[in-house]
Amino acid sequence: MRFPIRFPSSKLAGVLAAIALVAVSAVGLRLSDPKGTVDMVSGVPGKPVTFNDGELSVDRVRVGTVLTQNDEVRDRSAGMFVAVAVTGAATGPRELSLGSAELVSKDVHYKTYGLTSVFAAPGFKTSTDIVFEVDPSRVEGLTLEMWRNEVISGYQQRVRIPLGITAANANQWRDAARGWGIDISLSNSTRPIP
Amino acid sequence: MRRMLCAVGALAAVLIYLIWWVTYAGIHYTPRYAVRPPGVAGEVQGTSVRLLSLTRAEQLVDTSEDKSGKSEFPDPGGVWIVAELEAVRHDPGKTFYCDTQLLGPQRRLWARAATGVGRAIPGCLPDDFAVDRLVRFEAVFLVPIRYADQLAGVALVDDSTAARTPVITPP
Repeated sequence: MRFPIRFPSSKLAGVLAAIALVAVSAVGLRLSDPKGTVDMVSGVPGKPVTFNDGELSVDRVRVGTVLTQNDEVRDRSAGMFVAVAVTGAATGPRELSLGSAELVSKDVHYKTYGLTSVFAAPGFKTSTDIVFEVDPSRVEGLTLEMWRNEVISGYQQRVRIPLGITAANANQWRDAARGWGIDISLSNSTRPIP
Repeated sequence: MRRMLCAVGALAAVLIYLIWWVTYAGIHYTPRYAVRPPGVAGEVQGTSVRLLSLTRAEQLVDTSEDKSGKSEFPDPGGVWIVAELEAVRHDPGKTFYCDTQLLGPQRRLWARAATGVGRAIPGCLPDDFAVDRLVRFEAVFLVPIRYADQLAGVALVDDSTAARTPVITPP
C-alpha cells in the first residue's frame, strides 16, 4: 500500500528545516527561562542567608494601613502595608544587586509597592525597607523572595525568607496593622561591612 | 537529496552560530582588565587618561574657593580614596563619559562616591572635554579600609566595547 500523500523532496526539506529551527528556538527559550533553573536558598527572619553574591537578612517586619514619609502621609491602603526591613551584604568580590522582590504565599504573589532594590558594592552592606500592599485576609505564610535581575540566566539563585506570619498569629498581625502608620523616611543606608 | 543536504547545512550553521555565541558570551561575561605601567595613560572613548595620584584620606576636606570649612568623614570601616587625573580627548567623533571606577583585589569594583564637599579640582563632566584640551579632574571613592592597601588602579570603563578595560596606575 502506498502512502496517499507524497511530499516533493524540496517541501520535505523545508518542513524538516522549519521543525529543526523551532526546536532550536525552543531550547534557547528554555535555557533563558529562569523559572526552570532557579535554586531556592531559604532562611529565617533575623539570620543572614548566604548565597552567591553575599548575604541577605530580614531584620524587621512592620505592618500598617498608612505610609508616612517626613511626617507626611504618603499613601493609605484599604488592605494593609507590609514593610520588610532587609540588609544585603556584598561579602564576595561581586556587587550585590537584588533588583526583584515578591512576597509570596501558597496561592498569592504580591509585587513591591513602588520600585525597590537592594544594592551594595563589594565590602559594603545596605539596609532598606521593601514595602508591599497586601490583602489582610491572605497573609498567612507570607515569604519574601528576592533575586538578581537578569536578561538571560543560566543559573539563578532566589533567596526565600518567611516573615513569621502563621495561621496562629495572623490575627495579631491584622490587628497590629489597623490604623497604624509605617514611617519610611529613613529607609536606605549603606555602610562598610565591619 | 541535495535539498536535504541544504537543510542539514542550514541547521549546522545555526548550531555553529549558537555555540560561537555561547562561547563568546562566556569569555566576555567576566570583565577583563589590562593594567598599565605606573604613570602611563590609558585610552578610552577616544581619550587619553592619566592617573596623577591616588591618595587615601580619613577626612574629605572642602578645598573649594569659598572654603566652607566643611569636611566629610567616611562611615566607620571605610576610607576615602582620592584619584587625581588628567585627560585629553583627541577623537572628535567620540565622547568620554567619565566612567572611572576603582579596581581592587579579585576584581572588586567601586564606583565614584557622591560627596557633599566642595573641591578645588572639579569632578569629571563629559562636556568639559573639548578636543585636544588637557582637563584635570578628581574622582573620589569610598572603599572598605581592609581593601585600601590592595588597590590595582583606576579602571576606565567602557561598556560599549568587549576590549579589555584599561586600568591606570599612579607614577
